[in-house]
Amino acid sequence: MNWKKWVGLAIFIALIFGVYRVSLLINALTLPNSEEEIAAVREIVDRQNEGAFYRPTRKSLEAKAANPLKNVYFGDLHVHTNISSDAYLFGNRLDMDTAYRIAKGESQKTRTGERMELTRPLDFAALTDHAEGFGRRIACDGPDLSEAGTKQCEERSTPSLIGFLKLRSKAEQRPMIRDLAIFNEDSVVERDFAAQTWQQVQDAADRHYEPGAFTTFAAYEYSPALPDRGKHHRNIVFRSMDVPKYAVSGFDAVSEIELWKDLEATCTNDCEFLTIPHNMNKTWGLAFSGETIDGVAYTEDDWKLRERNEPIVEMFQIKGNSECSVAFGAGDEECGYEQFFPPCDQGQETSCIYPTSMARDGLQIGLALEDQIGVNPLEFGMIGSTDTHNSNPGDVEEWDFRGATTFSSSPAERRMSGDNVTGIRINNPGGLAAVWAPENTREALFDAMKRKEVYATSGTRIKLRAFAGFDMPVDIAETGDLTAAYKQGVPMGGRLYASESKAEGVSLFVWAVKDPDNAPLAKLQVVKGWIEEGERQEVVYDVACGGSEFDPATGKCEANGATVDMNDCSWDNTAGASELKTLWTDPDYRSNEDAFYYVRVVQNPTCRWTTYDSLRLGREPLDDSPATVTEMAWGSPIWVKAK
Amino acid sequence: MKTNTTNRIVGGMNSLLRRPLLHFWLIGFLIFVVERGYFAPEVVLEVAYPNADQIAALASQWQQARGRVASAAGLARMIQQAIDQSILLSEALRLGFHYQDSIVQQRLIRDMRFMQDDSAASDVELLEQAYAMNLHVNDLVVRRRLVQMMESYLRASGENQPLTDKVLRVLYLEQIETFTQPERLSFSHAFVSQDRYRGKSLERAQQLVKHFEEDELSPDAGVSMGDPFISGYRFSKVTQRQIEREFGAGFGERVFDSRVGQWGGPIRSVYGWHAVWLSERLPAEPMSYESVKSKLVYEYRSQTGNLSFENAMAALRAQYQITGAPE
Repeated sequence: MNWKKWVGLAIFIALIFGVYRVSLLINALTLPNSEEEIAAVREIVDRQNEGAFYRPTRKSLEAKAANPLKNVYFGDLHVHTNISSDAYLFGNRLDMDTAYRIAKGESQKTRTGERMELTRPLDFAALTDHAEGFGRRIACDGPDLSEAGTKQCEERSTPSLIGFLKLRSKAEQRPMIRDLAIFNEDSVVERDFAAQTWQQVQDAADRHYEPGAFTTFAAYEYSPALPDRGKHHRNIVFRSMDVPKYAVSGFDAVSEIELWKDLEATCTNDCEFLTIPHNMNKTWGLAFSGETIDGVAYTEDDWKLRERNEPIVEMFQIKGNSECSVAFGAGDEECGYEQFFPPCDQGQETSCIYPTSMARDGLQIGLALEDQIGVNPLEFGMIGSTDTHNSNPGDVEEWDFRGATTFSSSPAERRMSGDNVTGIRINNPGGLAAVWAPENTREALFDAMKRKEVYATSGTRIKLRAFAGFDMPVDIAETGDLTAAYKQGVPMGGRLYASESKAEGVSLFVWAVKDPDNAPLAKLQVVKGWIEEGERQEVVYDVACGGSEFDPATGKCEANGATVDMNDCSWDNTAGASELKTLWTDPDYRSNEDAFYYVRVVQNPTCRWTTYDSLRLGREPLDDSPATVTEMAWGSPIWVKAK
Repeated sequence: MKTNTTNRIVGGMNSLLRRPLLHFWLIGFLIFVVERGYFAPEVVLEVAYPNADQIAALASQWQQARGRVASAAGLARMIQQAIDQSILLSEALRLGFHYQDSIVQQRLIRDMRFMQDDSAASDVELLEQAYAMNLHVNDLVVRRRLVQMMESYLRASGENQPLTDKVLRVLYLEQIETFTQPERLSFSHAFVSQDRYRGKSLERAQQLVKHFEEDELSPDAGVSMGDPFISGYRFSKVTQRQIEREFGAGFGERVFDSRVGQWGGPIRSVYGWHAVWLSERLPAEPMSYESVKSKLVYEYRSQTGNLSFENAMAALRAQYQITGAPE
């Protein structure tokens, strides 16, 4: 063959490959819409083998008796239903009532026919649909739309990824543009319809509130967008049904500062609220930079607004882990767990992690700020949630992950497509918010969130207690005396003052117990952060090992040898610990330094959702995703103030 | 004397009958009676059947909302809803809701100011002009508001009687089977950690149970000999399912098989072994009236509201003629 033929062959192969890539892209961007197309997808789902792996028996909703020493309640504070414009565009038609019923343990199907069901119902849930979309569905469903309004309603009703990207791109404009086509260009109409949706949100929450067994909240999401699918979003949760008449959206408040000001102005009398930022990993460094989305620097008053109103952050969710980055600080490998982005390269502005992006960064910046302004505005607790757009709160078990965006990420065939064109395989099923409260009521859970006695999990229901004190009983790890722990220490989310004690060392009593329906525990870690000569410092200690020895040479727990049976995803119950409990004293404590401590629990490996999908489809797990995960729980920090 | 008085009355009557003002009132009354009684057209209540374009729009909305083409029955329901909304609007106008609601009035004033942005007219004048121009019938937002007000009005029409305890208690008794508390029990446990005792945890648990039985240890004394357990040592009035959520599958059933007033086990949980003392067993029983009262109130209000609305709507449908309906 002469060189011309070689060139011709090369061009032909490149052409074939190009056509293949384009077809994959078209396939990924095209969502089913007609009856026939949806029926075809359901046929594919019918062929999935849902019995190909082990899953625990399902349980029903049960109340817990009140407990003055507090119970842990698991819930999801970040859920989208068909009210959210993006969820609707993905094809989700499941409403708020359905979402609450799923949270309470009812089994439902996505429109693709994949079943969604929690092994255990949640204890609480907040539906947080985008406030910017409030009123739009009501307007679209009504008569007498203008031509432009009708066109927009049609566009936003037809499941389409291109439609979603168009919506997203519109939302990135600054300041956000309030598109009134659907409302016949009348802002008063928009306001009226938006208030109606907000009322529906409250009514649905009231319908499903069962004090003692299942708690709901009036809540919504404030959603200014950033370029390249970045976001600077916050969920707003109210303590009671005494709420402002209007939900403050990104159209009303140009920045989080305006949001807090508006909420403080309208949430009066018995009304109480808190805001919860999420996806700090996708804020392109804005999360803790001290600047608004428009580059305006926070004033001292702005920081104080934040301190008053933002006691917790959503650190883990479907779109990744925002605890820390392996590239900064201690560089602990656990920071890589379900991580979305690499650190930013020189000149890179988006799709990467800045040193002001992650929760651990924020905690350190908060210590430095306190030295400057007298309060620590970033003294926050940490929770997990999902951010699902499928109306399925707390559906976080790896074996039940159906994507989070209806037609865009379902069925398994789509999630496991050859080259992951939509990037779905970077997602995870999301996490849970764990709250220590004396009873399961709105008031008790909200108050616990305000005092930060909460923790995040990656979906597992590990029970985690953490207390810090200067005079903790030396035998507390043997007695497990929680009364003494509360009396002689402070729980997670609390503050400890060195000036109030003569003792010279700080100790943490940490107690973690495995999820009864998940794998045993591998290790318990304490993360400490402080500021030294103006520099951010952090260190990670392994403080208890599950089924393995502590290696003094490395300062780490040795591997415990836990395995996973990749044939059916059953996990190893013989390695690891069912509980880890210790009284740990900081060997490097200095009473003249402010510091924070938080606890991280690492579970033995279990199958990642991608492996469950492989079993469903009878295929080998793909190389582009880890086959297993080590689920985690992260306690809210305890701050120790210097003498 | 009597004759004089009679004469005065007769004279007065004659004088009154000759008064033009009386003639005017009598003639007016006569005209009114004749017109109302014989010539006034009968009040006809009617609304229009949706036209082809409106039906097509309804079908399109259905498809967008449900993701499938509307069935004939589904479309018929939507058409009926559209007709009902027209009836509600008509009734709201008949009752003069548009004169009473401040939101409607503000909206009409806004519309007028938009149309006459240089007008110096007062709000009252603008409102009068809006009514004269029938804006309250043509404005979409006002129409929706009036329909909504009418729905609320009909929904509340059945709430003439205050909701009494007596009514709620009747409802409670009617639904008592759905308000049943499952069998519950209270127990204490002494925990033997499998992490602490490794392969010897069962042996340790068996020793504890034997010791508790032989020495007839109280629940508190027994519990104190176990290991710390994060969820506590005493569980009061819990169901089998509640127990299984804390201890793992299978544990609750074994606890329910134990006997009251004595040590049992050891029973295996996902955390280790447990010696268990049952202190009470409560049979399945109806939940108390007080504990379900708020649920009953919510259900009652929701049901009576729906019923009132349906009854009133049915009555209105009977009064209205639908014009342009297909044969």
